[in-house]
Amino acid sequence: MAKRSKSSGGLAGTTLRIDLTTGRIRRQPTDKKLMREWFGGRGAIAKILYDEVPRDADPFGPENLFIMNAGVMSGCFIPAGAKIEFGSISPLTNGHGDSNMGGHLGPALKFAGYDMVIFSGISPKPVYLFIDDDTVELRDASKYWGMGSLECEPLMKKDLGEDFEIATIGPAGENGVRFSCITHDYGRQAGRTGQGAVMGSKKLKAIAVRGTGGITVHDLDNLTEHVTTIIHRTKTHPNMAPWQKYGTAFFIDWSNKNAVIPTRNFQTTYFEQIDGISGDALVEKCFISNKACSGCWMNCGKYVKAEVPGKSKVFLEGPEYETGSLCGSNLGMTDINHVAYLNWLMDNVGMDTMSGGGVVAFGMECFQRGLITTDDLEGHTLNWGSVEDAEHLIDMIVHRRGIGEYFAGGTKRAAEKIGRGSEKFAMQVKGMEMSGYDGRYAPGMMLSYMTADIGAHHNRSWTITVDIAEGRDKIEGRAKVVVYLQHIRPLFDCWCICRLFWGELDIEPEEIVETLNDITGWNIDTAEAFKTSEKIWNLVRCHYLERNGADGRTFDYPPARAWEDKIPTGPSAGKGLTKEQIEAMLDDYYACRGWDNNGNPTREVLHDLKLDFAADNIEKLGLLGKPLPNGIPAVRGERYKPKAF
Amino acid sequence: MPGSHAFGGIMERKRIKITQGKCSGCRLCLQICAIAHYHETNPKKAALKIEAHFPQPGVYKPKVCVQCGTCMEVCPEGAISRRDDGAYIVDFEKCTNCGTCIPACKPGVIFQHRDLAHVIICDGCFKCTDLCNTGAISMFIQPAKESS
Repeated sequence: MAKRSKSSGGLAGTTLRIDLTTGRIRRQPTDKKLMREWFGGRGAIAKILYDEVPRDADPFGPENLFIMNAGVMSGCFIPAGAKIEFGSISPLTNGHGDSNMGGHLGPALKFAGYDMVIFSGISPKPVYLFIDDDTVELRDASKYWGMGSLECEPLMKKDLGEDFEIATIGPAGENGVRFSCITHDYGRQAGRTGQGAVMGSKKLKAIAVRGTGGITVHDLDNLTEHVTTIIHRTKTHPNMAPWQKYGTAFFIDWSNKNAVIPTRNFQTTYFEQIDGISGDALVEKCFISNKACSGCWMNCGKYVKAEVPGKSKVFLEGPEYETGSLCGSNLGMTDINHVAYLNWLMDNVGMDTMSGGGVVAFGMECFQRGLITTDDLEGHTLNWGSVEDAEHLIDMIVHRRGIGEYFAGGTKRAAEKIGRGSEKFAMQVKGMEMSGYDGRYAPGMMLSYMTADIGAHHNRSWTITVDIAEGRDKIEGRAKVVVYLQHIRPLFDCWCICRLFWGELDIEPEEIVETLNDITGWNIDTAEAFKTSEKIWNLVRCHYLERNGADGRTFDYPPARAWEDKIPTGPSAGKGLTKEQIEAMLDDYYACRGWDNNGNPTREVLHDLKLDFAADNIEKLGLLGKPLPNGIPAVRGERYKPKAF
Repeated sequence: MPGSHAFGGIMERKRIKITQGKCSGCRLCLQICAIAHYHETNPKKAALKIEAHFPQPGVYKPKVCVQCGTCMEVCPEGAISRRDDGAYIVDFEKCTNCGTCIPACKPGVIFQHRDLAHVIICDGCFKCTDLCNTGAISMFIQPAKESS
């Protein structure tokens, strides 16, 4: 094979293209133009998926691509520069899907000399990708196939060497459960959009990487000065100590006090037994050690043990906030050990704890309402707060037995099968389950779920603090904030760094862009960064419309619980949204984006973003937005500085 | 000598203290070490290491130079010398990269790298302790009387 390309500007230099059907591995220099114009990571993945995957390709078929991209900042001397982005057409949403993980895999890939790996085809037998600097091989994975992720990783390290970084899928991914994740470093996941299921469909069990090279950056002296300044300045930030102690589990109690925590499948927003699953409970009962991603001084990861009577003691990283809420209060779990055990179970079988928590909660509400019975559950019950019941349903899902087959498609598909009104409380948008915040009395958050480009995920826009700070009855003005957050937050997924230090430690976007310029030499400003992010967003929107063939607005609604059910208990009792308010927020949002009232991007905005090719494509399908009477807004989105807690 | 003070003719020594159970495995220490000495973001060129003990018991253990001097004693080329502040310094001209010192190092923190023609040994710059945010590694000053 050809020699490695030279590292420069934060890029390792080489891209791998691997055809799993034939086993052929090609090296090519990383496309610097692509990485510059689409910012790498999520952006580069969005462009490649748009250009190369046929619109009618089955997410589980050979034409779907599975891409990993470590971006321009991962592995460089940058706070939390640890991410790696995965992308493919999502089997959960049938649109562009991407998800990222922290840990050490992204940096390792770049130290080995590679920025991106693009898989196509389907392997005739289970394989894993082995990378040891210049050595790149597809190796037989039959020994590991069928193993749980948390069991497979230590075995592979034993076989290959402790200094290999390993990412695996579990049996859920192997069996095509549509919300399967990829697991790395004993508990770091690329959880959302079913990337693990795509890996499984390609018979790709794992990725093992060891790299010993360096990454050349544009101006290492400036970078070192900027980064050491940031680290020293923020060591004493008031959020640092609680962050280091609890990680995101800190928000469990906060979220309950503010009555936004999903409880018993988003039936209510306040959980009476919160003390049993709070951050304090985690630290007191389960904590072993702090566990950080590469280069991160905030160490939000908590390595824990979970002890449930009658079961083996298990070890894992987590539960963080999303798992703690969605597998905690949302399932009616009252003991942190049970939450951590379910976290371990889902990590090991390889399903996303967020969608997984949402799916099990949906099943529990179906059982509560008599829509499914013990006859459907192999004689088991499915009661709130029962770890045994949850475990049994998970087993049925992973092995797709009986009604588990329905649930393996996620809540939207399960509700379509179960029917009888269950669609109303299938808590998803575009087929992906909601994150751990109820948006009924946090309208910005509801709009965030409705409009997120990959389905109901909080990472695109997290407005809970905006809702609380500015008044939770307020609808007006939310769209501008959501659009702004949808500009800035996905940038971190492009550059492959963590976003948490930006929000928690009051680091301005300008300072982050400065370090980006130190690494890349791009010499850009935040305005250009936001505009590129907007370009990626619009391309992903066009891709979704092209694949799903209807006006965008039709895909942007939450389930009817969002407007039909008022919050029944707790501090937010009696509060909720009306359908009119939801429609008004969508109207505002589309106007703010320069889209028409059907939620379709207009030629004017696509031209402004240099996406004329996408405008042509959606025009052929009759999905190009109608010209706006007053033209598109010159500034789309309104800058908002998140408030500290 | 930078970073040390003479009193009574005997130098006090700066050393790295490890507090077990604190390390979160972020490896910022490795990154800054390689940048400081080789002007490169490459943790494989660092003069310390973080051992990961997962899935059980689930802890990271930093390993750092304890300035025991064994490397100097076993070096067949006389390429390693002791500085007044207690750090052991490799003479890159004399070092043949034979690796004799590597198995002799008790904490296992002498390394080779394919780019380099000499071994990597901690020179006591304390950039790593300066950056550590968990208290896992910190600098402490060994009083002059205890120095040897």
